[in-house]
Amino acid sequence: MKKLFLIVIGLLVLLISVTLIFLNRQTPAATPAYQPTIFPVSSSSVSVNYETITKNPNAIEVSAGMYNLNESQSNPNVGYALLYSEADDSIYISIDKEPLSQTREQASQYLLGLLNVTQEVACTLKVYVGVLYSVNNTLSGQNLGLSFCPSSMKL
Amino acid sequence: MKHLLPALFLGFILLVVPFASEAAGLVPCGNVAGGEQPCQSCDVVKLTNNVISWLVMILSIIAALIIVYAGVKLVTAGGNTHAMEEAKSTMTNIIIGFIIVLSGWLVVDYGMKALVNDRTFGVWNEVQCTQQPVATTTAQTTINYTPAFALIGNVQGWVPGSAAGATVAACALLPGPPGVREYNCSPQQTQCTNIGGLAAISADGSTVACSPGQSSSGGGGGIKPPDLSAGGACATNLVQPYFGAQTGNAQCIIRGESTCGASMVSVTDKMSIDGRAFSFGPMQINLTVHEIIGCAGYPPVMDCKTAFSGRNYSARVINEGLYQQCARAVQNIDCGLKNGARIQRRDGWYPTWSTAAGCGLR
Repeated sequence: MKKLFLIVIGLLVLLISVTLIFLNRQTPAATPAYQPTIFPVSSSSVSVNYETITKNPNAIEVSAGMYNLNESQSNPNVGYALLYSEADDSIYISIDKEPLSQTREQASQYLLGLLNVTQEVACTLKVYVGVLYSVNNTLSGQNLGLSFCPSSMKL
Repeated sequence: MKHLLPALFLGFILLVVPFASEAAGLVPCGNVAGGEQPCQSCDVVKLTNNVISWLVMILSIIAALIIVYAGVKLVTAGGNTHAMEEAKSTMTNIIIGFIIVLSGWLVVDYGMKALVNDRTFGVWNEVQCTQQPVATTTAQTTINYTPAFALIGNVQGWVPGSAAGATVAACALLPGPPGVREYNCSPQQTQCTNIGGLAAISADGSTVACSPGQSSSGGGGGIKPPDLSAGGACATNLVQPYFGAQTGNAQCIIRGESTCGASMVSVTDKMSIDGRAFSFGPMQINLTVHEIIGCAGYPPVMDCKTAFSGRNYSARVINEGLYQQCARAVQNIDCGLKNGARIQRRDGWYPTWSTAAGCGLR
Protein backbone atom coordinates (compact mmCIF):
# COMPACT_ATOMS: atom_id res chain seq x y z
CA MET A 1 0.00 0.00 0.00
CA LYS A 2 2.83 2.36 0.93
CA LYS A 3 4.65 1.53 -2.29
CA LEU A 4 1.56 2.18 -4.34
CA PHE A 5 1.14 5.51 -2.60
CA LEU A 6 4.71 6.52 -3.46
CA ILE A 7 4.25 5.55 -7.09
CA VAL A 8 1.03 7.55 -7.34
CA ILE A 9 2.79 10.58 -5.80
CA GLY A 10 5.68 10.19 -8.24
CA LEU A 11 3.39 9.97 -11.24
CA LEU A 12 1.42 12.96 -10.00
CA VAL A 13 4.58 15.07 -9.72
CA LEU A 14 5.61 14.00 -13.21
CA LEU A 15 2.20 14.87 -14.61
CA ILE A 16 2.22 18.29 -12.95
CA SER A 17 5.75 19.03 -14.19
CA VAL A 18 4.94 18.15 -17.79
CA THR A 19 1.68 20.13 -17.62
CA LEU A 20 3.53 23.15 -16.27
CA ILE A 21 6.02 23.03 -19.13
CA PHE A 22 3.31 23.21 -21.71
CA LEU A 23 1.34 25.82 -19.79
CA ASN A 24 4.46 27.97 -19.54
CA ARG A 25 4.81 28.03 -23.29
CA GLN A 26 3.68 31.44 -24.35
CA THR A 27 0.16 31.54 -25.71
CA PRO A 28 -0.75 34.44 -27.97
CA ALA A 29 -2.97 37.06 -26.39
CA ALA A 30 -6.49 37.48 -27.58
CA THR A 31 -6.28 39.54 -30.72
CA PRO A 32 -8.98 42.15 -30.97
CA ALA A 33 -10.62 42.62 -34.31
CA TYR A 34 -9.01 45.91 -35.29
CA GLN A 35 -10.96 47.57 -38.01
CA PRO A 36 -8.85 48.60 -41.01
CA THR A 37 -10.67 51.90 -41.19
CA ILE A 38 -11.31 53.21 -37.75
CA PHE A 39 -13.45 56.21 -38.55
CA PRO A 40 -16.51 55.00 -40.45
CA VAL A 41 -18.60 57.98 -39.47
CA SER A 42 -20.90 60.16 -41.43
CA SER A 43 -20.15 63.80 -42.03
CA SER A 44 -22.62 66.34 -40.86
CA SER A 45 -23.87 69.59 -42.30
CA VAL A 46 -25.59 70.41 -39.03
CA SER A 47 -24.15 73.40 -37.23
CA VAL A 48 -22.87 72.41 -33.83
CA ASN A 49 -21.30 74.77 -31.33
CA TYR A 50 -18.03 73.09 -30.35
CA GLU A 51 -17.02 76.04 -28.20
CA THR A 52 -18.65 74.25 -25.32
CA ILE A 53 -15.59 72.00 -25.56
CA THR A 54 -12.88 74.43 -26.64
CA LYS A 55 -13.93 77.06 -24.08
CA ASN A 56 -14.62 74.52 -21.34
CA PRO A 57 -12.54 75.43 -18.27
CA ASN A 58 -11.65 71.76 -17.78
CA ALA A 59 -10.45 71.31 -21.38
CA ILE A 60 -6.71 70.99 -21.96
CA GLU A 61 -5.27 71.85 -25.37
CA VAL A 62 -3.02 68.83 -25.90
CA SER A 63 -1.92 69.84 -29.40
CA ALA A 64 -2.73 72.63 -31.82
CA GLY A 65 -6.52 72.53 -32.18
CA MET A 66 -7.00 69.42 -30.06
CA TYR A 67 -8.77 69.56 -26.74
CA ASN A 68 -8.90 66.88 -24.08
CA LEU A 69 -11.74 66.71 -21.58
CA ASN A 70 -11.16 64.22 -18.79
CA GLU A 71 -13.92 64.54 -16.25
CA SER A 72 -12.69 61.45 -14.41
CA GLN A 73 -9.79 63.53 -13.07
CA SER A 74 -12.20 65.48 -10.87
CA ASN A 75 -14.85 62.79 -10.48
CA PRO A 76 -13.68 59.21 -9.89
CA ASN A 77 -17.17 57.89 -10.77
CA VAL A 78 -16.73 59.04 -14.37
CA GLY A 79 -15.25 56.33 -16.59
CA TYR A 80 -14.80 58.13 -19.88
CA ALA A 81 -12.69 60.86 -21.46
CA LEU A 82 -12.96 62.85 -24.65
CA LEU A 83 -10.76 64.41 -27.33
CA TYR A 84 -12.01 66.98 -29.81
CA SER A 85 -10.10 67.88 -32.96
CA GLU A 86 -10.87 71.22 -34.57
CA ALA A 87 -9.29 70.19 -37.87
CA ASP A 88 -12.18 67.92 -38.83
CA ASP A 89 -14.59 68.42 -35.92
CA SER A 90 -14.04 64.83 -34.87
CA ILE A 91 -14.61 63.60 -31.34
CA TYR A 92 -12.91 60.60 -29.77
CA ILE A 93 -14.50 59.16 -26.66
CA SER A 94 -12.59 56.64 -24.58
CA ILE A 95 -14.48 54.16 -22.45
CA ASP A 96 -12.20 53.58 -19.48
CA LYS A 97 -14.34 51.49 -17.16
CA GLU A 98 -16.50 48.38 -17.09
CA PRO A 99 -19.39 47.75 -17.47
CA LEU A 100 -18.96 49.07 -20.99
CA SER A 101 -22.64 49.45 -21.86
CA GLN A 102 -23.30 51.54 -18.77
CA THR A 103 -20.21 53.71 -19.22
CA ARG A 104 -20.95 54.19 -22.93
CA GLU A 105 -24.49 55.26 -22.05
CA GLN A 106 -23.14 57.81 -19.56
CA ALA A 107 -20.57 59.09 -22.06
CA SER A 108 -23.20 59.38 -24.81
CA GLN A 109 -25.53 61.37 -22.55
CA TYR A 110 -22.59 63.53 -21.47
CA LEU A 111 -21.85 64.39 -25.11
CA LEU A 112 -25.48 65.32 -25.75
CA GLY A 113 -25.41 67.69 -22.79
CA LEU A 114 -22.00 69.07 -23.69
CA LEU A 115 -22.91 69.95 -27.27
CA ASN A 116 -26.59 70.59 -26.53
CA VAL A 117 -27.74 68.54 -29.50
CA THR A 118 -30.41 65.89 -30.06
CA GLN A 119 -29.64 62.20 -30.43
CA GLU A 120 -30.37 62.39 -34.16
CA VAL A 121 -27.86 65.18 -34.65
CA ALA A 122 -25.26 63.48 -32.46
CA CYS A 123 -25.48 60.37 -34.64
CA THR A 124 -24.46 62.41 -37.70
CA LEU A 125 -21.31 63.79 -36.08
CA LYS A 126 -17.82 62.37 -36.48
CA VAL A 127 -17.72 60.50 -33.21
CA TYR A 128 -15.48 57.53 -32.46
CA VAL A 129 -16.21 55.62 -29.26
CA GLY A 130 -13.41 53.24 -28.34
CA VAL A 131 -12.38 51.17 -25.37
CA LEU A 132 -8.87 50.92 -23.97
CA TYR A 133 -6.98 47.68 -24.55
CA SER A 134 -6.32 47.46 -20.81
CA VAL A 135 -10.06 47.64 -20.12
CA ASN A 136 -11.31 45.22 -22.78
CA ASN A 137 -8.78 43.70 -25.15
CA THR A 138 -11.45 42.07 -27.30
CA LEU A 139 -13.43 45.19 -28.17
CA SER A 140 -10.45 47.55 -28.22
CA GLY A 141 -9.75 48.97 -31.66
CA GLN A 142 -13.37 49.00 -32.74
CA ASN A 143 -15.79 51.89 -32.98
CA LEU A 144 -18.54 51.08 -30.50
CA GLY A 145 -20.56 54.13 -31.52
CA LEU A 146 -22.82 56.22 -29.31
CA SER A 147 -25.29 54.17 -27.29
CA PHE A 148 -28.41 55.56 -28.96
CA CYS A 149 -27.28 55.47 -32.61
CA PRO A 150 -28.84 52.74 -34.77
CA SER A 151 -25.52 51.73 -36.34
CA SER A 152 -23.72 51.38 -33.01
CA MET A 153 -22.37 48.13 -31.70
CA LYS A 154 -24.66 46.24 -29.35
CA LEU A 155 -23.00 45.64 -25.99
CA MET B 1 15.16 -4.27 -16.45
CA LYS B 2 18.01 -2.69 -14.53
CA HIS B 3 19.23 -0.74 -17.56
CA LEU B 4 15.87 -0.31 -19.23
CA LEU B 5 14.49 2.26 -16.80
CA PRO B 6 17.50 4.63 -16.87
CA ALA B 7 17.47 4.35 -20.66
CA LEU B 8 13.79 5.28 -20.73
CA PHE B 9 14.40 8.26 -18.44
CA LEU B 10 17.26 9.46 -20.59
CA GLY B 11 15.14 9.12 -23.71
CA PHE B 12 12.33 11.06 -22.08
CA ILE B 13 14.67 13.88 -21.05
CA LEU B 14 16.09 14.08 -24.56
CA LEU B 15 12.55 14.35 -25.86
CA VAL B 16 11.41 17.03 -23.44
CA VAL B 17 14.51 19.25 -23.29
CA PRO B 18 14.29 20.59 -26.87
CA PHE B 19 10.64 21.59 -26.30
CA ALA B 20 11.55 23.21 -23.02
CA SER B 21 14.50 25.14 -24.43
CA GLU B 22 12.43 26.33 -27.37
CA ALA B 23 9.74 27.58 -25.03
CA ALA B 24 12.29 29.27 -22.84
CA GLY B 25 13.47 31.89 -25.38
CA LEU B 26 16.69 32.21 -23.46
CA VAL B 27 18.35 35.00 -25.45
CA PRO B 28 16.05 38.03 -25.35
CA CYS B 29 17.72 40.09 -28.08
CA GLY B 30 19.99 40.16 -31.10
CA ASN B 31 17.73 38.71 -33.76
CA VAL B 32 17.21 42.07 -35.48
CA ALA B 33 15.78 40.42 -38.60
CA GLY B 34 13.18 38.76 -36.38
CA GLY B 35 12.13 42.09 -34.91
CA GLU B 36 14.25 41.94 -31.77
CA GLN B 37 16.39 44.80 -30.51
CA PRO B 38 20.21 44.73 -30.61
CA CYS B 39 21.71 43.31 -27.42
CA GLN B 40 22.71 45.64 -24.60
CA SER B 41 24.70 44.90 -21.49
CA CYS B 42 21.55 44.57 -19.38
CA ASP B 43 20.47 41.70 -21.61
CA VAL B 44 23.31 39.66 -20.09
CA VAL B 45 21.46 39.87 -16.76
CA LYS B 46 18.21 38.94 -18.48
CA LEU B 47 19.94 35.98 -20.12
CA THR B 48 21.35 34.82 -16.78
CA ASN B 49 17.91 35.10 -15.24
CA ASN B 50 16.37 33.12 -18.12
CA VAL B 51 19.04 30.42 -17.79
CA ILE B 52 18.31 30.10 -14.05
CA SER B 53 14.56 29.80 -14.68
CA TRP B 54 15.22 27.27 -17.44
CA LEU B 55 17.49 25.19 -15.21
CA VAL B 56 14.89 25.15 -12.43
CA MET B 57 12.33 23.89 -14.94
CA ILE B 58 14.67 21.17 -16.20
CA LEU B 59 15.52 20.20 -12.63
CA SER B 60 11.80 19.84 -11.91
CA ILE B 61 11.50 17.33 -14.72
CA ILE B 62 14.59 15.43 -13.62
CA ALA B 63 13.35 15.36 -10.02
CA ALA B 64 10.00 14.01 -11.12
CA LEU B 65 11.64 11.31 -13.21
CA ILE B 66 13.94 10.24 -10.39
CA ILE B 67 11.00 10.05 -8.00
CA VAL B 68 9.17 7.80 -10.45
CA TYR B 69 12.32 5.73 -10.91
CA ALA B 70 12.69 5.33 -7.15
CA GLY B 71 9.02 4.41 -6.86
CA VAL B 72 9.34 1.70 -9.49
CA LYS B 73 12.49 0.44 -7.83
CA LEU B 74 10.62 0.25 -4.53
CA VAL B 75 7.84 -1.80 -6.10
CA THR B 76 10.19 -4.17 -7.86
CA ALA B 77 12.40 -4.60 -4.81
CA GLY B 78 10.43 -7.62 -3.62
CA GLY B 79 11.74 -8.62 -0.24
CA ASN B 80 15.17 -7.14 -0.80
CA THR B 81 15.55 -4.80 2.18
CA HIS B 82 18.72 -3.22 0.83
CA ALA B 83 17.05 -2.29 -2.48
CA MET B 84 14.04 -0.87 -0.63
CA GLU B 85 16.22 1.27 1.61
CA GLU B 86 18.17 2.46 -1.40
CA ALA B 87 14.98 3.47 -3.23
CA LYS B 88 13.62 5.29 -0.16
CA SER B 89 16.91 7.06 0.30
CA THR B 90 16.93 8.16 -3.36
CA MET B 91 13.41 9.51 -3.05
CA THR B 92 14.12 11.38 0.18
CA ASN B 93 17.31 12.91 -1.18
CA ILE B 94 15.75 14.13 -4.42
CA ILE B 95 12.80 15.69 -2.57
CA ILE B 96 15.12 17.47 -0.15
CA GLY B 97 17.36 18.59 -2.99
CA PHE B 98 14.44 19.89 -4.99
CA ILE B 99 13.08 21.82 -1.99
CA ILE B 100 16.52 23.41 -1.56
CA VAL B 101 16.54 24.43 -5.24
CA LEU B 102 13.12 26.04 -4.98
CA SER B 103 13.75 27.69 -1.63
CA GLY B 104 16.99 29.19 -2.96
CA TRP B 105 15.03 31.85 -4.80
CA LEU B 106 13.09 32.76 -1.64
CA VAL B 107 16.23 32.81 0.49
CA VAL B 108 17.93 35.26 -1.89
CA ASP B 109 14.78 37.40 -2.16
CA TYR B 110 14.26 37.66 1.63
CA GLY B 111 17.97 38.11 2.22
CA MET B 112 18.24 40.98 -0.24
CA LYS B 113 15.10 42.65 1.07
CA ALA B 114 16.41 42.38 4.63
CA LEU B 115 19.71 43.95 3.60
CA VAL B 116 18.21 46.74 1.48
CA ASN B 117 15.39 47.43 3.98
CA ASP B 118 13.21 49.03 1.31
CA ARG B 119 9.55 48.13 0.91
CA THR B 120 9.55 49.25 -2.71
CA PHE B 121 12.36 46.88 -3.65
CA GLY B 122 10.99 44.35 -6.12
CA VAL B 123 11.81 40.67 -6.49
CA TRP B 124 15.54 40.16 -6.88
CA ASN B 125 15.40 38.63 -10.34
CA GLU B 126 13.26 41.41 -11.84
CA VAL B 127 15.61 43.11 -14.30
CA GLN B 128 15.09 46.86 -14.73
CA CYS B 129 16.86 47.99 -17.88
CA THR B 130 17.66 51.67 -17.96
CA GLN B 131 18.54 53.58 -21.09
CA GLN B 132 21.96 52.76 -22.38
CA PRO B 133 24.02 54.42 -25.07
CA VAL B 134 22.85 53.37 -28.49
CA ALA B 135 25.44 51.71 -30.72
CA THR B 136 26.85 54.23 -33.14
CA THR B 137 27.38 51.73 -35.94
CA THR B 138 24.94 52.52 -38.70
CA ALA B 139 23.44 49.46 -40.30
CA GLN B 140 22.15 50.73 -43.62
CA THR B 141 18.88 49.19 -44.65
CA THR B 142 18.91 47.72 -48.12
CA ILE B 143 15.79 48.20 -50.14
CA ASN B 144 15.17 47.60 -53.81
CA TYR B 145 13.38 50.38 -55.62
CA THR B 146 11.69 50.97 -58.92
CA PRO B 147 13.46 53.14 -61.53
CA ALA B 148 11.20 56.08 -60.60
CA PHE B 149 12.71 56.01 -57.16
CA ALA B 150 16.14 56.59 -58.59
CA LEU B 151 15.10 60.23 -58.74
CA ILE B 152 15.43 60.42 -55.01
CA GLY B 153 19.09 59.79 -55.41
CA ASN B 154 19.38 63.24 -56.98
CA VAL B 155 18.07 64.89 -53.84
CA GLN B 156 20.83 66.04 -51.55
CA GLY B 157 21.58 63.59 -48.78
CA TRP B 158 20.29 60.45 -50.50
CA VAL B 159 22.94 57.95 -51.45
CA PRO B 160 22.92 54.44 -52.82
CA GLY B 161 23.03 51.83 -50.11
CA SER B 162 25.57 49.07 -49.71
CA ALA B 163 23.77 46.95 -52.29
CA ALA B 164 22.61 47.91 -55.76
CA GLY B 165 19.28 49.72 -55.73
CA ALA B 166 19.38 50.86 -52.11
CA THR B 167 18.48 54.49 -51.30
CA VAL B 168 19.43 55.69 -47.87
CA ALA B 169 19.77 59.07 -46.16
CA ALA B 170 21.39 59.92 -42.86
CA CYS B 171 19.36 61.83 -40.26
CA ALA B 172 20.67 64.87 -38.39
CA LEU B 173 22.03 64.18 -34.93
CA LEU B 174 20.29 66.39 -32.39
CA PRO B 175 22.09 67.92 -29.42
CA GLY B 176 21.39 65.94 -26.28
CA PRO B 177 22.83 64.65 -23.04
CA PRO B 178 25.96 62.47 -23.07
CA GLY B 179 25.22 58.92 -24.11
CA VAL B 180 21.83 59.74 -25.66
CA ARG B 181 21.70 59.83 -29.44
CA GLU B 182 18.57 61.31 -30.91
CA TYR B 183 18.06 62.04 -34.58
CA ASN B 184 15.76 64.23 -36.62
CA CYS B 185 14.61 62.28 -39.66
CA SER B 186 11.62 64.48 -40.56
CA PRO B 187 13.14 66.18 -43.67
CA GLN B 188 14.20 62.85 -45.15
CA GLN B 189 10.81 61.29 -44.39
CA THR B 190 9.02 64.23 -46.01
CA GLN B 191 11.20 64.02 -49.12
CA CYS B 192 10.42 60.34 -49.40
CA THR B 193 6.67 60.63 -48.84
CA ASN B 194 6.44 63.61 -51.21
CA ILE B 195 7.28 61.30 -54.10
CA GLY B 196 4.88 58.65 -52.82
CA GLY B 197 7.52 56.54 -51.14
CA LEU B 198 7.51 54.69 -47.88
CA ALA B 199 10.09 56.00 -45.43
CA ALA B 200 11.58 53.54 -42.97
CA ILE B 201 13.74 54.60 -40.06
CA SER B 202 16.56 52.24 -39.15
CA ALA B 203 16.55 50.45 -35.80
CA ASP B 204 18.93 52.97 -34.22
CA GLY B 205 17.05 55.93 -35.71
CA SER B 206 20.04 57.31 -37.60
CA THR B 207 19.05 56.64 -41.21
CA VAL B 208 15.97 56.63 -43.39
CA ALA B 209 15.47 54.21 -46.24
CA CYS B 210 12.97 55.07 -48.94
CA SER B 211 11.06 52.47 -50.88
CA PRO B 212 7.95 52.29 -53.03
CA GLY B 213 6.08 50.44 -50.34
CA GLN B 214 8.30 47.71 -49.03
CA SER B 215 8.80 47.55 -45.31
CA SER B 216 12.06 47.90 -43.49
CA SER B 217 13.46 47.59 -40.03
CA GLY B 218 12.00 49.32 -37.03
CA GLY B 219 11.34 46.47 -34.71
CA GLY B 220 8.44 44.37 -33.61
CA GLY B 221 6.60 42.23 -36.08
CA GLY B 222 4.99 43.21 -39.35
CA ILE B 223 4.10 46.55 -40.82
CA LYS B 224 0.51 47.76 -40.85
CA PRO B 225 -0.39 50.28 -43.55
CA PRO B 226 -1.06 53.81 -42.29
CA ASP B 227 -4.69 54.48 -41.45
CA LEU B 228 -5.35 57.66 -43.41
CA SER B 229 -8.85 58.08 -41.94
CA ALA B 230 -7.59 58.19 -38.35
CA GLY B 231 -7.91 61.42 -36.41
CA GLY B 232 -7.01 62.77 -32.98
CA ALA B 233 -3.60 61.65 -31.79
CA CYS B 234 -3.79 58.80 -34.34
CA ALA B 235 -3.83 61.21 -37.30
CA THR B 236 -1.29 60.14 -39.90
CA ASN B 237 0.13 63.65 -40.27
CA LEU B 238 0.94 63.67 -36.53
CA VAL B 239 2.24 60.12 -36.23
CA GLN B 240 4.17 59.72 -39.50
CA PRO B 241 6.95 62.29 -38.81
CA TYR B 242 7.98 60.33 -35.73
CA PHE B 243 7.28 56.75 -36.76
CA GLY B 244 7.89 56.67 -40.51
CA ALA B 245 7.24 53.17 -41.83
CA GLN B 246 5.93 52.15 -38.41
CA THR B 247 3.05 54.67 -38.66
CA GLY B 248 0.32 52.06 -39.08
CA ASN B 249 1.66 50.08 -36.14
CA ALA B 250 1.90 53.20 -34.00
CA GLN B 251 -1.68 54.19 -34.85
CA CYS B 252 -2.88 50.80 -33.65
CA ILE B 253 -0.92 51.19 -30.40
CA ILE B 254 -2.18 54.74 -29.77
CA ARG B 255 -5.76 53.63 -30.40
CA GLY B 256 -5.49 50.82 -27.85
CA GLU B 257 -3.47 52.79 -25.29
CA SER B 258 -5.49 56.03 -25.19
CA THR B 259 -8.27 55.86 -27.82
CA CYS B 260 -6.31 58.27 -30.01
CA GLY B 261 -5.48 60.63 -27.17
CA ALA B 262 -8.91 60.77 -25.52
CA SER B 263 -7.69 59.04 -22.35
CA MET B 264 -4.41 60.72 -21.48
CA VAL B 265 -4.16 59.59 -17.86
CA SER B 266 -3.85 55.86 -17.31
CA VAL B 267 -6.74 54.17 -15.57
CA THR B 268 -4.77 50.99 -14.88
CA ASP B 269 -1.14 52.06 -14.31
CA LYS B 270 -1.61 53.50 -10.84
CA MET B 271 0.72 53.62 -7.86
CA SER B 272 -0.59 51.36 -5.12
CA ILE B 273 0.47 53.81 -2.41
CA ASP B 274 -1.76 56.72 -3.46
CA GLY B 275 -3.73 55.58 -6.52
CA ARG B 276 -2.20 58.20 -8.80
CA ALA B 277 -1.31 57.32 -12.39
CA PHE B 278 2.28 56.74 -13.48
CA SER B 279 1.60 56.38 -17.23
CA PHE B 280 0.42 59.28 -19.35
CA GLY B 281 -0.10 60.59 -22.83
CA PRO B 282 -1.31 59.22 -26.16
CA MET B 283 1.09 56.28 -25.82
CA GLN B 284 0.76 55.94 -22.05
CA ILE B 285 4.47 56.30 -21.36
CA ASN B 286 5.49 54.84 -18.01
CA LEU B 287 7.23 57.69 -16.17
CA THR B 288 8.70 55.43 -13.50
CA VAL B 289 11.03 53.85 -16.05
CA HIS B 290 11.41 56.41 -18.85
CA GLU B 291 12.88 59.85 -19.34
CA ILE B 292 11.13 62.53 -21.38
CA ILE B 293 13.32 64.33 -23.89
CA GLY B 294 12.98 67.27 -26.26
CA CYS B 295 9.51 68.61 -25.45
CA ALA B 296 8.78 72.24 -26.28
CA GLY B 297 8.33 74.41 -23.21
CA TYR B 298 10.05 71.95 -20.88
CA PRO B 299 13.67 71.20 -19.94
CA PRO B 300 15.49 69.38 -22.78
CA VAL B 301 15.89 66.25 -20.68
CA MET B 302 13.60 65.28 -17.82
CA ASP B 303 14.72 62.18 -16.00
CA CYS B 304 11.22 61.33 -14.82
CA LYS B 305 12.40 58.09 -13.19
CA THR B 306 14.06 60.15 -10.48
CA ALA B 307 10.69 61.60 -9.47
CA PHE B 308 9.90 58.16 -8.03
CA SER B 309 11.19 55.78 -5.46
CA GLY B 310 10.59 52.28 -6.76
CA ARG B 311 9.10 51.37 -10.10
CA ASN B 312 5.70 50.67 -11.62
CA TYR B 313 2.88 49.87 -9.19
CA SER B 314 5.17 49.98 -6.15
CA ALA B 315 6.49 53.42 -7.11
CA ARG B 316 6.14 56.41 -4.77
CA VAL B 317 6.52 60.05 -5.79
CA ILE B 318 9.52 61.66 -4.11
CA ASN B 319 9.77 64.73 -6.35
CA GLU B 320 6.27 66.12 -6.79
CA GLY B 321 7.36 68.99 -9.04
CA LEU B 322 9.15 66.73 -11.51
CA TYR B 323 6.27 64.23 -11.47
CA GLN B 324 3.76 66.95 -12.35
CA GLN B 325 6.07 68.40 -15.00
CA CYS B 326 6.65 65.02 -16.68
CA ALA B 327 2.94 64.16 -16.57
CA ARG B 328 1.96 67.48 -18.16
CA ALA B 329 4.67 67.33 -20.82
CA VAL B 330 3.89 63.85 -22.07
CA GLN B 331 0.17 64.61 -22.33
CA ASN B 332 1.06 66.96 -25.14
CA ILE B 333 0.49 64.90 -28.28
CA ASP B 334 3.73 65.92 -30.03
CA CYS B 335 5.79 65.29 -26.90
CA GLY B 336 4.06 61.96 -26.25
CA LEU B 337 4.54 60.73 -29.82
CA LYS B 338 8.13 61.96 -30.04
CA ASN B 339 9.14 60.13 -26.90
CA GLY B 340 7.05 57.10 -27.78
CA ALA B 341 8.93 56.82 -31.08
CA ARG B 342 12.28 57.14 -29.32
CA ILE B 343 11.37 54.42 -26.83
CA GLN B 344 10.00 52.19 -29.61
CA ARG B 345 13.21 52.49 -31.60
CA ARG B 346 15.21 51.55 -28.53
CA ASP B 347 13.03 48.88 -26.90
CA GLY B 348 10.65 47.71 -29.64
CA TRP B 349 6.87 47.46 -29.34
CA TYR B 350 6.54 44.50 -27.01
CA PRO B 351 6.55 44.25 -24.03
CA THR B 352 6.91 48.04 -23.65
CA TRP B 353 3.31 48.37 -24.81
CA SER B 354 1.00 45.49 -23.86
CA THR B 355 -1.34 46.70 -26.62
CA ALA B 356 1.29 45.49 -29.09
CA ALA B 357 0.03 41.94 -28.48
CA GLY B 358 -3.39 42.95 -29.77
CA CYS B 359 -1.84 44.74 -32.74
CA GLY B 360 0.06 41.61 -33.79
CA LEU B 361 3.41 43.18 -32.89
CA ARG B 362 4.48 40.70 -30.27
